[in-house]
Amino acid sequence: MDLQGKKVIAIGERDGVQATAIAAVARSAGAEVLLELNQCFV
Amino acid sequence: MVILGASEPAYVEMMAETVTAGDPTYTGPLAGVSLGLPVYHVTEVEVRERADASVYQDQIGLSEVAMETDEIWKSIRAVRERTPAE
Repeated sequence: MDLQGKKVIAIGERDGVQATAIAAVARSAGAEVLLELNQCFV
Repeated sequence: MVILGASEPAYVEMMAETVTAGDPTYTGPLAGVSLGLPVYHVTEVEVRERADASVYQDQIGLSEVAMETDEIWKSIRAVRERTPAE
């Protein structure tokens, strides 16, 4: 699987990895981040 | 493609199921809606190996230590096998 040029939705979690961190990782792999949002299951 | 960051294997499975086969709880607008999106957890090798190592370490490294990654990978792979991406 190649992330280069892929469109990504980053769904983070308050108590896990947050969406901004996922987005930074995806961008560093060449992906385009379309949406960042965080869930909270408490 | 969807990349998840939840730390509990059960949450990861539910969210992965929601963006592939549809909402398994039948409570939201995606109940019965099969999006068939490719879905990965941010700690999986498919994401980690393609990311810049220093960015990954800065952003994810500490969180990853506290996660049951083996269980997370097992649950999200099971979802992908049940509902392959379209």
